[in-house]
Amino acid sequence: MNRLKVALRNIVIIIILFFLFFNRSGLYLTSLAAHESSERSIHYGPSEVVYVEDFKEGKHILGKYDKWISCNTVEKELFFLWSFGSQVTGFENDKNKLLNYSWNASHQYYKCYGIRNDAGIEKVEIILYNGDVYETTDFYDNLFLITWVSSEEDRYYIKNIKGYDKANNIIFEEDR
Amino acid sequence: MSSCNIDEFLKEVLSFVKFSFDRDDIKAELKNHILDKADYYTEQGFDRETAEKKSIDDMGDAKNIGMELNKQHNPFIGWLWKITNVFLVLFIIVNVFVTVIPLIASLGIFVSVEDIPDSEIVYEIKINEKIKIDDTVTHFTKVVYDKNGNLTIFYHYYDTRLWGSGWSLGTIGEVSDNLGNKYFNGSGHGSGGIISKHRQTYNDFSKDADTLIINYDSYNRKYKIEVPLNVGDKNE
Repeated sequence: MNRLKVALRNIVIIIILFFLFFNRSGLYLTSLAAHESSERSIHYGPSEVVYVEDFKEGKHILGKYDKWISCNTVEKELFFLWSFGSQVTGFENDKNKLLNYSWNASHQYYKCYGIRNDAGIEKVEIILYNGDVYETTDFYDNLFLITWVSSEEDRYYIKNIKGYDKANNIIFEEDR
Repeated sequence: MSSCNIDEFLKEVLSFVKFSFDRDDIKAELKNHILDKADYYTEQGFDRETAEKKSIDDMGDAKNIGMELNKQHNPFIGWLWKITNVFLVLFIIVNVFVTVIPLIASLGIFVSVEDIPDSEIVYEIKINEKIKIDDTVTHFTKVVYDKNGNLTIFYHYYDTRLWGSGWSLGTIGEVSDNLGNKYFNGSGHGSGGIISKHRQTYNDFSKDADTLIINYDSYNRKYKIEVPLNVGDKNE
């Protein structure tokens, strides 16, 4: 077999082996492909993506699925590929509460997300145990997302969460 | 004329061959050819120096030979051949670790789920229930009730996409019996791999229960399996 034939044969085998590796490696070409595969393999969703936010190591994907609210994360790999992150499945929205939320961390990257069941809530504020305060006035189909980064040494957990109305009155408050 | 001239001739020829990995082979082949012919002329009565000169003259113009050899040893095809050989070896090595070893492991050659010794078994019931959720097929194979009052469920699961990867199966569902008892405490073992083999043990399972119920209801995915416990091989 001459070199050209050998090279062509090699290329065909390499393409097959590449797809084999790619599929077994858990890497995806897009963040949404990783998100969708992550949900399906854990038997959740498919959720309707309402908001995507970048963070240093990946993306937070805020979504709704039936009565559940989720904020999956996917992580960047090898510069342009994506893999599963954490907290794929969501929590059930209790519509009797004005504000439903959850929080989670992956390494030092934290997120607090949830849903307002009262459209009168125009701002959500969280206070961490170290005294830091974060807030958002952005809602995406009534869902919100607040993110923060802790140091390597300390873990900054949520101490208190508040929901404010337009006049800046507290209409929801909960200590953790 | 001496072998020095042969080397100069070969050097000039090889200067036209762009694919450097082939130069040594070409050089050796041409040199052998020239020396063979020089031997022939020597046998014909020429002195060695003249014989070598004649054999080089017979070869022709070094530039023409070099350019013709460069066509035959096309540098583009040469590099393509060389690079694809390297990548082929790399991808084979990577796939051995990513695909072949997990596949072999999941077939139970290296890793398997430990069975329960016959001396510990009160009864064993073979089952053959396959459940598909999304792309995952879970195959329940048997239930074993042991002398310590534990009930163990054996199952394995795999992804129907075959090449796909994903989260491992978190739970098989809520386990209860026909008497209304629910079971949470126990232990589990799994093999991992492409076909992941598992056993899940529930402690203090009621010996009076005659039906095991596995009920999965999570995020709009549901199944329910009922396994009669009053049948099977009893060896108590």
